[in-house]
Amino acid sequence: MGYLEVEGVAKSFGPVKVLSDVSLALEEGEFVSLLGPSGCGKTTLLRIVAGFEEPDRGTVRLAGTEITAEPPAKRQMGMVFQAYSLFPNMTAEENIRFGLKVRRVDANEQAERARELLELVGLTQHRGKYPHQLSGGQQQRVALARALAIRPLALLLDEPLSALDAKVRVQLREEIRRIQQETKVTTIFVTHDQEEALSISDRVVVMHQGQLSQVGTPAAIYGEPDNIFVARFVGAVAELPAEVVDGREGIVALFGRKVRAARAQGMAAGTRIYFLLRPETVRVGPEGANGGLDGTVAGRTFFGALTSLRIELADGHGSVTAAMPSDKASELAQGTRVSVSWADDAPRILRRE
Amino acid sequence: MRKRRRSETGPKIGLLLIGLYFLVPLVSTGAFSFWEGGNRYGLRAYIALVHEQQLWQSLGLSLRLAIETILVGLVILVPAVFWMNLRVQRLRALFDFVSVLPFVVPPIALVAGLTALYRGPSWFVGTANYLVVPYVILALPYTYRALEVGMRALDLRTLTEAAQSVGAGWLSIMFRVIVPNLSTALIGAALLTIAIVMGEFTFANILLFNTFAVYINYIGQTAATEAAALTLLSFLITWLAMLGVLLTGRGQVQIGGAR
Amino acid sequence: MSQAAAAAGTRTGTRPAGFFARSGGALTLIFVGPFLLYVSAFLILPTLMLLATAFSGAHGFTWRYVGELDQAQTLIAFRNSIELSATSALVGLVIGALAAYFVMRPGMPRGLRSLVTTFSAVAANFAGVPLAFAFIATLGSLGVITVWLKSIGIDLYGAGFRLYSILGLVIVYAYFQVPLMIIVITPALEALRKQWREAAENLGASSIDYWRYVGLPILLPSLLSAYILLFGNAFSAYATPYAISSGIVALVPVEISNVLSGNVMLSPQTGAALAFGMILVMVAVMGLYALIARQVGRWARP
Repeated sequence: MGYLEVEGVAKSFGPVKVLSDVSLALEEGEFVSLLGPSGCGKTTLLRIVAGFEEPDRGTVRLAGTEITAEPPAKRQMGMVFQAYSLFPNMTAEENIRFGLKVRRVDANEQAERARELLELVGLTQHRGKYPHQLSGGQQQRVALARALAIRPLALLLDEPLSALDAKVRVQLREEIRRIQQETKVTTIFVTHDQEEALSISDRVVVMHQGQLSQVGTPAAIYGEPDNIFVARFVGAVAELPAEVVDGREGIVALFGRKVRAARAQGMAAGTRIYFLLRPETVRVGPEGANGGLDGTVAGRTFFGALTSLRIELADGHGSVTAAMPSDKASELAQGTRVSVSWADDAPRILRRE
Repeated sequence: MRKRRRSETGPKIGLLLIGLYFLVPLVSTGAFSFWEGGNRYGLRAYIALVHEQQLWQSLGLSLRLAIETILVGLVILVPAVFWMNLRVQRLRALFDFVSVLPFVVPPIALVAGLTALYRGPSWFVGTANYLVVPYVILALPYTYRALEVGMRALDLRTLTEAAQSVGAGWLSIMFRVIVPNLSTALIGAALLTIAIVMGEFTFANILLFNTFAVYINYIGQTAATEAAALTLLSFLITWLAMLGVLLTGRGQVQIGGAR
Repeated sequence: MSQAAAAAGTRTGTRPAGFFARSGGALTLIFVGPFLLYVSAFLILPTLMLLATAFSGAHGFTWRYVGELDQAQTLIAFRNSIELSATSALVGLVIGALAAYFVMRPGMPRGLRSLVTTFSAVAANFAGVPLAFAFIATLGSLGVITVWLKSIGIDLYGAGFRLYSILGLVIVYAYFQVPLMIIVITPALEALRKQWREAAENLGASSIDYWRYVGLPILLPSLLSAYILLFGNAFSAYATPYAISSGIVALVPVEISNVLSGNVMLSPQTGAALAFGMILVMVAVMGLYALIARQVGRWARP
């Protein structure tokens, strides 16, 4: 039994079904990301947990108590919104004290708590500023401090970084993780950015069309996608259609040739599958190398230390992306004919409907 | 589990009461305009009005004044606001200040000042056209606001430089480039001016010119049902002008009027 | 406002000479000149003329006419005008803000909003003599509502109500004050972000807490400037009270018009002094507004 539990929750807005039968349980102190494209229902799920939306069916439990019908103000959860949620008429410090003030907490205690939190988010010298005098990143830090001030039973973050610049985004997400680990507050973090979700979460929940597509550690989500949606959404992947030939030995037929794939073991012969290759598992060798697929370098994208090559396979078999150190890639100009290979246990195998 | 559905009954009843307050005077006036004494109701007031020479004269006068006010206002304001935005941005504070002045100086005070200052010549102060002078001032805040918003939305510098690069002079820039691009703002300002001038009473009454509003007041002393009919007509004119403003201004509401 | 006025005033005085020369003087004169000339001739000069008139007697400068402003009749007119304006502005402020807020609530019928917007634009511009007649037909001694109420046993006029009283005028003025308020406050209400309300709720605030600490403080500058607008709107109203009360309720604009039309035996200087007094009240009100707005709008300034 989890600390924060969502069970069988469904929600429609008019004719649009946003969530269907979603269940999820968080351990105390856990950091879980809800990841998915826009419209997948992740924000609605968060708002149901926060109490801003009422589920059509299902329950929400916090620390063993059902809170489905509790109004947001009674839930003792801290929420950080996308942007512009600070009260513009209050200074940073007054914003942080707000939750305590409406709880009629003693003024000295308010001041003490605000001081702690300003320090925690590194804004002590900005405490007297109004929101419009703070940068976007600083505003979100204040919002985080404000949410934590009430010592929430759970922290809810609704795409808190999406309105920020790339650099600030990375900096702040690391800070959010640090603060979460220091305070050990159970956290749900909603994002559409897979890198963000993978980099700071204990577990990631990938959502698709109102359902949980996969729940697992970042490594599992990336390395062992359960289904083609997760494989496509999280990280780049080449998907090649194939068919299992021998399930005992792990042999599959890929473009008419037999290839060994460790993960196909145990699958029935004749099963139609996707043969998935992550860019970093793709090896590029000289044309005609033993056992490889022939292709041509069709595009190059320079990422600094790494360069990604798009390799067009021969005979119109689609394309594969390979990531390799830039110095190695520099030898492979556009148009170079190459062969593509991989380790036997590198490809992920998913059933193809 | 069903909970927290805030009831909207209170707000609905509130709005209904406020709506009634606004509807009842109109309905009463309408009912009154059809009253022919005793229990008889009919179109007598309206028929009498159609034959009333003075009504048509005053209505015509007010309409003419409205058009003159629009023309004079635009002729002095369009070039000034254009140039201020393009070249002399530092006059903006002055312009903004001047445009709220008519609000600080009530019409009744302005008319007192005008009569103290200008006592002639009679071709100037002696004809109804004299009313255009204060009417332009009355409409100034609204016309200025409309032009200012309209011109800010245009990239004046680029437009002007583009026109100059193909050899246009200042006059043709004004009339061929700026004015057509401002048509929405101009129509909004013009309709609002019509609403203001058609209802204006202060200046006309004190300077003794027989405009539409003065005529309604005059009729009100003698024929109450006809005054009620004219009240409805006046409401209709305001409604048409505002509908025009709303339709051309993409929902932007403006305010003016003669209290 | 008074400070802004003073600042703008000095600018007018000092700028042109050096300024026009700097930016292609001739063209600037052609484009901006007519406008400034017009405003000077027909707005600023007449206002200054009022001042001059108010202070000049047969033998030059005198305090006499401005001093006469403290006569009982004049004081009553100013008191009535200010009381009527302040009250009707308050009524307009409260009812208009509530109406605008109600209309924006989710769950209100579709189309209600555009209906209210259009009607507000019309009603805010529908004033003066026609409005007076509409109310005479409604709440006058023989008005439809008066007669109907009498038929069910409520005798308004017997109970002392008069349309031509401060209360009566407040009821009439609401007809343009409420819609004006709806028009000016709606953008401010729309600018209240949903996130603020949700953040407040999330932090444990009740609805009352939200309005007390967040909603109203954020709206306060808009409410203040709306109040000033409504006050000025009522203060300078002339046609409506003239047509309704025919001078029974002493109001400054009506007094001035009596002087100007020669209905009373008073010198033009007295009229000018009255008009000067009105401008003084407006300037004072706006100065007060500027002071308060500075305080309550602190958080919005860079």
